[in-house]
Amino acid sequence: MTGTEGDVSDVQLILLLSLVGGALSLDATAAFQMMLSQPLVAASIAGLVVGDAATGLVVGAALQLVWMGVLPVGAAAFPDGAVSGVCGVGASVLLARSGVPAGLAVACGIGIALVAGAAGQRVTVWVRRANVRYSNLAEVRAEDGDPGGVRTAVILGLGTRFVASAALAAAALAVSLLLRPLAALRVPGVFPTTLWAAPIGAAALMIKGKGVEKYFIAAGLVAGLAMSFLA
Amino acid sequence: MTKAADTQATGVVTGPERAGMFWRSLFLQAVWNPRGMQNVGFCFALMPLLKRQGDGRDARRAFLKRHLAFFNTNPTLAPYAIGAAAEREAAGANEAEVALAKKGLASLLGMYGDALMWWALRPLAGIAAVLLALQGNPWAPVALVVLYAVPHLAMKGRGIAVGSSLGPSGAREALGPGFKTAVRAVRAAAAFGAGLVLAKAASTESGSLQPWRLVAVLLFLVLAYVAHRVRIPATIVALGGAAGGVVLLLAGLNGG
Repeated sequence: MTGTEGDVSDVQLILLLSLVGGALSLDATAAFQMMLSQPLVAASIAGLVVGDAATGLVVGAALQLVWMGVLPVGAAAFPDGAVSGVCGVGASVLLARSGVPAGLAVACGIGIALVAGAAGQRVTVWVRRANVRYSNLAEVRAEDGDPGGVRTAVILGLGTRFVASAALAAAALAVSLLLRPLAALRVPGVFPTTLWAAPIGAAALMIKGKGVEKYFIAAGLVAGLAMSFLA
Repeated sequence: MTKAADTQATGVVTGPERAGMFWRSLFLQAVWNPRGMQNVGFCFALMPLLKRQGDGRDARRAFLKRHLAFFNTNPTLAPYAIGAAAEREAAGANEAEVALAKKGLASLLGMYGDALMWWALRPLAGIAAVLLALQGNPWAPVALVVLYAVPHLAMKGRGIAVGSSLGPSGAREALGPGFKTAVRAVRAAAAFGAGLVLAKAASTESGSLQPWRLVAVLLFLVLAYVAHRVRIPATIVALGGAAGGVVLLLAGLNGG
């Protein structure tokens, strides 16, 4: 598995992006929660890592719109936005440099990203089960008045989240390489991302809203169309 | 139960203790689990208060156990509860009073925090960033993080400060009467932004409107709305949308 462009092999690229995905996924719930794990941010960072910032923005914007309906609230297991963003860009770039037409590579990248993000829900359930054990560890050591168990549990919780998300990203990017035979196809043009992703985001806001959102969405649409018309 | 080290636990929460709690509150959900939820993170955040218990095994065990109890709320506003629990600890309150302070604030902070952060500010930050990204602006991800993280960290800091100085009642009052109005305004702004993104999707890169694209956008909107309504999983809806995009690509109808 070697790349056809630059000095970085496919394997090196996958390892690098997996580490980035694992680190950014910590932000989703485990630490900080500063939105570094949102797909647009993760995809943009991945774009900078692979030297293709434009693809990072395009893929990230589409996934961010899809993520409008994803809320990391309470006990809900949610798709992994960081892994999704990183894999979307990574798979797009890996396929493009294997000769897959650019539009098709982005389409495949987004497909891989959505599946990887959904698989992240299962990974989150597994990580939370592991966290029960770490919580038990903290409680057992607390019986002796030892606060070290709490610190150890926090470190184990962060480490497990990082490793699990990094492994998921590596697996998803490795699977994306199976799509390289698509290089034989000749599909010119750009994959239309916003065209289908924007309605999904708007629909999510309407569904999860209080009822008035649809009027503001309509107002924004009319205002935007008026600006386009005048342009 | 009164703590064994009551004489050492009296007083006010100090500046270094507040700073320590703020930093540690950023890891509130590091060990989120289905049983105790944020229990380990809450106890971790209160560690700066542990030294007030002295070296006595019983006092330290009691402190750790009462803060390893079940706890769950919105992570952005959780510092109000962390600060309030610290204030109660520093004031020498008994175990029941500390537990009451935590329990009393958890549901209130969860309700307010989820409404503001997850249901309002996050969509607004996301939509604003998407609008920038669609213009090819490389600062789009920075805008998303700044729009969300600045209020997020500010509220966390304020939560520790208010909770640890005024206690549980002060934390409740600090949420303020204008909270619901702010949530409604932010949600409306996010929805308006989503409308702008829809219009952008119906236009070419140069900004001119294309009727067929508008029809396609509205069709996708109806399909996505119905799919959400009948509870088709979000991933399936998104994959369906992407498949529609592939059809347009193969049909030679291109555009971002």
